[in-house]
Amino acid sequence: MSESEKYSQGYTIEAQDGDFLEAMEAAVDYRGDTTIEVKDGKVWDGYLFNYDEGEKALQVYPKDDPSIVAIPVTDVVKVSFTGKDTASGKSWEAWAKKKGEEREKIKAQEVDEDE
Amino acid sequence: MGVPVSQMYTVVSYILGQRLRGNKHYPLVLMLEPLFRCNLSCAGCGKIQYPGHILKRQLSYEECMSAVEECGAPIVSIPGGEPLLHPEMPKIVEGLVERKKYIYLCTNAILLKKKMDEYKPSKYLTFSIHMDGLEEDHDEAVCRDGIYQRAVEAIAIAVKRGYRVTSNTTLFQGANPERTRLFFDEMAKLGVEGMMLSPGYSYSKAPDQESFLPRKETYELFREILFRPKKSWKFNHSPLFLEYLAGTRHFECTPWGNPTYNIFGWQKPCYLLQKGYTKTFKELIETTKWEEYGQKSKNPECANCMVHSGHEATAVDYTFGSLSGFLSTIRGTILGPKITNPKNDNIPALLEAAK
Repeated sequence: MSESEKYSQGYTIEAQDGDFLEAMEAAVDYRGDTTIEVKDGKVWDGYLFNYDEGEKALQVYPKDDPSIVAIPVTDVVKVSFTGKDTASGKSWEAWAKKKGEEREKIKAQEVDEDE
Repeated sequence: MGVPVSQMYTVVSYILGQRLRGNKHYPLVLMLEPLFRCNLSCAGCGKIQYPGHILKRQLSYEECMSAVEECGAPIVSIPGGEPLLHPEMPKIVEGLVERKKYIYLCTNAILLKKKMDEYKPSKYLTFSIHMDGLEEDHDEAVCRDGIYQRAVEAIAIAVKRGYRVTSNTTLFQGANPERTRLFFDEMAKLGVEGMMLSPGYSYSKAPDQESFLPRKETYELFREILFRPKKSWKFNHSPLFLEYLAGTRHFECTPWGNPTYNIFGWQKPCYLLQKGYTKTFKELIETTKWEEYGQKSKNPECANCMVHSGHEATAVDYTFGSLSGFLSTIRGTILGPKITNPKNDNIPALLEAAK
């Protein structure tokens, strides 16, 4: 299983798991929302975009809050990849294929009309 | 109309000032990304794939001015997202003009005709229009029909009304050199001040990962495009950067040359890679491990990157950092960039980079 397949929507990791740090990196890189549970029971649902090395904290834009929230890594209990990965979309190739088919269709119609 | 003398003077005096102060990591162009929201969804773009609540966020006027002052670069490029969707964009541009910054407002031009009157023509403001080729090629690249024609119409109006206008072209794998040359003819006819060019960068976040150019193919493509350029073509680049694209010479990346600021903060290390964010520009410069980036670093993410935002700053620094660079720039400005015949198998940049 590739990394992008492993760290996809629905994946959950807990702080005591062996590959927690690797999963944290993947979560920062993930282009969907995550849900982070911390020690005091609070749950943050939002976009995790950075690990602040100086403050050893995860930086999150909560879904319903305009400000950035910093969550100390040592407080994190569980992280879930809950949002859809927005980077896995329609490919340029699919668009080019569709356009190619359209052009072929137009050409075929033009040939028919000429005949 | 070419780049105003005042812009050249501002940039030259700024660079000489930085060099005299011995500042190695100086910014040349601030990439100010005030929002990621866009009215197009181009498959090659890695900038807009975010959850809805992130796409709704934007930098405020105050945040933009604060970043511009903190960074100090003489040129501010405003990409996105689509900057014309930002409700405070006219005020942001006005604020930058007041600060005598040269602005490249990058737009797909869908809204330009409608919003043009919100901006005053100024030597400080340039509309940099995203145009990836002739009609069929451009509409294919932006994944929507009709966009080329709208952009052409907006360019014609903007030029007529006295705005500075450049085109801004990203070339992907499969780009046709002949058609690209025809596209340059069209842009010249429209009267753009200059054309900007860059090979695409393979964003790991872009949905399309197959259409980006490896380095050797990039050299070959640009040699074919730029060999024997027509006199009507004007590029908004250092001639040395064009020589770099065509493999005449090798440049390493200068990632700090075009620092990026957006809703997440100052982006490490460059406009394209996202290796974390800092709260201040100073922190970005002082804490980024610059030696881990660029072709020389052997970082696989940089191996094939030849984009404008990383390498034009190197070309400009070379111009003012050595006599040979200065003389080469003078020669390239007067006689045009030195581009090897595409039939010649020898690509000097590949040999130079291998040393």
